Amino acid sequence: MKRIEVLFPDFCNIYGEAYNIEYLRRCAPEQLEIIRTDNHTEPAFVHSDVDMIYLGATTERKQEQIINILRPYKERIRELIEGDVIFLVTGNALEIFGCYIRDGEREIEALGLFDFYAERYMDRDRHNSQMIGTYNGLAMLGHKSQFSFAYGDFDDCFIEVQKGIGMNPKTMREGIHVHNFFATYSLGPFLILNPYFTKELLARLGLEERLCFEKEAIEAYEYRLAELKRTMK
Amino acid sequence: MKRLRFYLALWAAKLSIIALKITRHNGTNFPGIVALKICPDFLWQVKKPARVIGITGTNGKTTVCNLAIDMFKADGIAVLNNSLGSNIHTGLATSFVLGTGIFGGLKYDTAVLEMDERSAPLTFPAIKPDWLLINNLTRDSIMRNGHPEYIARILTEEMPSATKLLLNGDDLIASSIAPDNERKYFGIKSLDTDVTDCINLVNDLRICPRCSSLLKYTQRRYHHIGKAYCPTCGFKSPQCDYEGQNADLEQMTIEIAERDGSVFCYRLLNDSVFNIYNVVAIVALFRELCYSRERIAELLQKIEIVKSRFDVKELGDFRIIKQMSKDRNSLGTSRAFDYVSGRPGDKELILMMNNLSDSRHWSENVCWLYDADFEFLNRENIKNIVVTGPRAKDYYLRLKMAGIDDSRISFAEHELDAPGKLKLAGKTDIYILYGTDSITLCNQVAARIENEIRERGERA
Repeated sequence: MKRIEVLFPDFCNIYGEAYNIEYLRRCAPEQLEIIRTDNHTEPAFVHSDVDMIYLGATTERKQEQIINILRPYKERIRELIEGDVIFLVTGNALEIFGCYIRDGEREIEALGLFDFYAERYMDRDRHNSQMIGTYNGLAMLGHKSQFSFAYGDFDDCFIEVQKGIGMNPKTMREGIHVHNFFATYSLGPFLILNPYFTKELLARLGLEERLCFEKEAIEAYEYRLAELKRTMK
Repeated sequence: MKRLRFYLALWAAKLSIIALKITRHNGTNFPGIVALKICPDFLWQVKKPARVIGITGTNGKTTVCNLAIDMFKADGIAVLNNSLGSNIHTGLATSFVLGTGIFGGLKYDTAVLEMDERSAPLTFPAIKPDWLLINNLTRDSIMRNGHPEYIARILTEEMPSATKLLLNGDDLIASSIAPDNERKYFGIKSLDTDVTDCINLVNDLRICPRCSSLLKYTQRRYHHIGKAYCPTCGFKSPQCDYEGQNADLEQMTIEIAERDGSVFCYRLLNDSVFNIYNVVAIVALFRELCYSRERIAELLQKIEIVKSRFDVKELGDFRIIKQMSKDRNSLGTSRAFDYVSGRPGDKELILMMNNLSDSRHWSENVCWLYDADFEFLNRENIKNIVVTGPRAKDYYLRLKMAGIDDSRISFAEHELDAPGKLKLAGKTDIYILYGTDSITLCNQVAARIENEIRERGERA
């Protein structure tokens, strides 16, 4: 039995995120135990082994609360990352793992596990875009909708973007991939949008690479990929 | 100089209306764009009616606004409104261009304006409603609105201090807006369909906004709409000044109790919970405008919900029902699904809530499909669901995830081919669920369904 910890599902459910782990569960229902940790409970990863941790996009206010909740466990998180535990972090949750988030005059100290910072632009229109990129030979798709961008070198990026933007409009490097830590600004049901990556994730979990509704998921993915290639400049 | 610029803007915008008519263009925003281009403070300078009523919120503001306009009309009062234009600053400017004479005089004493909640920073500094009705604040298109917390913050920051608020007390996000403003609350005491646990995927207020404890809902209509309290800090739903009770969906009536203990019965216009709220909101608004209960009840007898949002046509054994279901809006879609699936009798559905403009320049963000309760469509009396348009394959997958069997899903790549996939087996209601930019396409699909019914009838 593999254990997946979903951190703060009451906070991090901004846009279809809940279906990431629900989809994984349906891919291997007999082999996955899902632990849902709320904001008043000590995360399971602190004192026990988990195979995967999921943290999804959230509101700006709750993002700051999550930083404060996770701060005492910063070194444990570092240990887990270095110990090859799988992390999937989507949307603005990735900013939690950087050095700080700047919001106007305010600077919000983040966990500092990776060398980048984020800047919020709350007074501008929200950034919306789509993305086609590659990871490990796989064509990756993503939806972005955010008030902030991240800045840094991103030598360990997750996805090399071909169409769209990376961590900010001036880079095609998207997300973070270190050991089994995967973070992306793409939000929503990232695993449903990227069925081939989900297969890889299942393999990394030591599970059979068989998807729930595999045929339909791949057909929908292929259609979106072709549509984006055709329509996106 | 400033005033001269205003008049130039007004005249140019009025000329643009004539030009649009001659060239048979729609362009409901265009005159406002012209006015604001020439005179950026046009909305500040233009005369406002003595009474300005704003209506905002995530879902249903167009319906509430139309109902309010129709109530005034039934009362013999013409009001300045933006029902033909958009609800952002350019649409409002267009309305004022239309409602203002060439010398700047105003033709109306009252304005009823649908005001986009996201555009508050552009509209509220210039147009300060005397009353602002907020019917709900829920998750909407993430691309434009982000999340309800963000919209609530914008509204609170931008709210004119003198504006009196009329808030949905059963929505703890909407009812917490601009706490320093004078306010009244409306709500529904209880409905037979109330639950306590959330059965929806989306619940935008699980956590107490004050202390982050888990909120307890004593009654829940759907999502975060209902009555709740925080067991830790005491944060709770406000007491309503106008509260619906004893809704009778057979007689289509509802009683509305007021703070003074008086209770009066009004007509319901539609049996969906959304529209019950809309009626309570309208009664509350007109009571605050000093209309008598009897007069409001009389006026409610004379109005209907605008047909572009919900339209029924009977054809033999079949009823073709056009049901707007806002694309990219999971909560609106869930409400439509809940309503449709709860209707008695066999049904076939055509799902075409595709955002057509998005699919022209990229692929529509499909995240909202996983916030929308497609699970509501997994009911025995929904015999066939035709998925169609650019997102058809995404709908197909989502319906499968909702537990719906292949035998009850049909696929048509193009919307106009969808009627050919209907089973039309016996007495059936056929629902077309369409998005905000596919009204014309929906009408074409409806016409094809009629043809399909006739042709199959002739063949039989």
